[in-house]
Amino acid sequence: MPVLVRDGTREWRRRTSAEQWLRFLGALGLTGLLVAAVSAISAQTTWAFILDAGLQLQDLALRMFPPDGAYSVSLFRPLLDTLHIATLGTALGVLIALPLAFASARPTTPSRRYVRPIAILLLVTSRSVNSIIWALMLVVLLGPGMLAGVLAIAFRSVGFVGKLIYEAIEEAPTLPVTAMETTGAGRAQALAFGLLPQIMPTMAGVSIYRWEINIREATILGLVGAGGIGMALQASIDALRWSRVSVILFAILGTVVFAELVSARIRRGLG
Amino acid sequence: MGSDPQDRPGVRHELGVSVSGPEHSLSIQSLHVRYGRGEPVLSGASIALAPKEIVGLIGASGAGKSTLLRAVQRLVEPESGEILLDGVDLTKLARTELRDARRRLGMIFQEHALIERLSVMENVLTGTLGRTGFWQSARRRFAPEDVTEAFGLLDRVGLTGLEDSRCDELSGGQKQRVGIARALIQHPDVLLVDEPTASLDPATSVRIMTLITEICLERGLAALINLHDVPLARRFCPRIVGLKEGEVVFDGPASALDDEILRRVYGDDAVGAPAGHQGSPAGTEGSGGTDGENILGR
Repeated sequence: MPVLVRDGTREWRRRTSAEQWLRFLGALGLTGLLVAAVSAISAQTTWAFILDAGLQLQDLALRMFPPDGAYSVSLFRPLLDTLHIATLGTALGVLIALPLAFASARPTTPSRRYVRPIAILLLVTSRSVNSIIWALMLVVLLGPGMLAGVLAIAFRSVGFVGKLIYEAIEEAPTLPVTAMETTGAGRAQALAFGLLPQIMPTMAGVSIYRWEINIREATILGLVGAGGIGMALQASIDALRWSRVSVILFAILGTVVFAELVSARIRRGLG
Repeated sequence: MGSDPQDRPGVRHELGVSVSGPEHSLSIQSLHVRYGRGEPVLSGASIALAPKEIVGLIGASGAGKSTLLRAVQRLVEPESGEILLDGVDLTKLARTELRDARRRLGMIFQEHALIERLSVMENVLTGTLGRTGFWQSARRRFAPEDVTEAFGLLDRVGLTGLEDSRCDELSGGQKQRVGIARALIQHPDVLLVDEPTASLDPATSVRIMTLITEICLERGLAALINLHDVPLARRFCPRIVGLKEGEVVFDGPASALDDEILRRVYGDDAVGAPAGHQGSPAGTEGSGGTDGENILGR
């Protein structure tokens, strides 16, 4: 299409005129959307609050410092709880995600018409609900505590881990599986040898990456009563103990940095 | 999930005497294959392998060579036709019987089709999956006699001491040797070999073809070998079958393969114009460098 013949010579352009116009109109539409969004947000903003934000920040900072160093000792337990919630939640999430991933991937699903759409829907559902929302619902169901936190983390992780693993399954070369079938292996054996080793690095990498994310997410679950350091944070904010809040924020920062270092370390070693 | 361990000795006994014992033949009769509703890939191809016979299958890309081997394994379901292994029609077999038939048809692949992240030993032992139960194989508890045999096969194909290497550390030729060992530990009756040298350099190609044909002679195996390299086919396969657009257009001794037949198999461009190149006959074994070979060797 982009080749035009004019006066007997061939001209080449990147796009046809129609494509050019379509792109222009698309860009125009997006710009309009941006302007509309900014004006809608601005209309709902109380600018008086924004104007004295600087003062408020100064005030908050003054109340946070100096941090209450002695309080940090009693944070050990809730921090450990947070790590437990993240780790158990990730493990449970991966366990649930694995069969769903195999049911979702085209080469391994038992039925493309029936099982695959259901499995994918479950993965999407899991992803579309944030951990804190899962926790909110589970606290209502199970009462406050770490169990609700573990399950919230697990349910949110299923969609993430499942999606990445099922994409890895779909991208893996199928020739090794075929080769296994030609040896007379059964279907399960062919997958266990021809496919599983290929997706092992992805499975490990994704699980550890999700664990790292989950440590961050587990720190806030306490805000809705699902255990961990978030409970301490909530309590300190409610009591306006800002010198403790700052200690908690430093503790969370330290934990997250630690988790990211561990995760990066391990994932670099996979391959 | 695999055969009962009890019938292992019986299988082994039968196979142990295969050199002088039962002779196995494969006969493919008017095979028709198409993918979906597309053009037919094979339209009535027939090839019969006598016991211990080594047949080279040549033809242009897209002529249906790989499809033919895949159809024999029923990785592709034929539309019609018969595939007789020792007189039993494989196209009629149910799933479990098919697994046993597949075990008897050792396949060697173009891209070796190894599991790159597993060790050489594990890859060879996957050849025993047809007779190993699921949990035994998942826990890598392979039968001791299979492990012993795997060591022996690694020695035979020239990979002594490499059993613990991961397959992605091996060279192309070494990978193909692992693929050969994997096919042999199946105790196959017939070998199906799909472009074994496609990704190998010329010297390695010759070594691999030598190994495959030697092993066929040692074990009295019939083999159907896809080759795109005509000189190689001519050198190693006493009998050649030429496939064009899904039909057999030549079937005869390698010595009968001349320019006229190569044109029939590959089209007119396959063989250089007689006047063009100082009269050197195109496609002559090992001469190299003629137009004909460059195109055929692609």
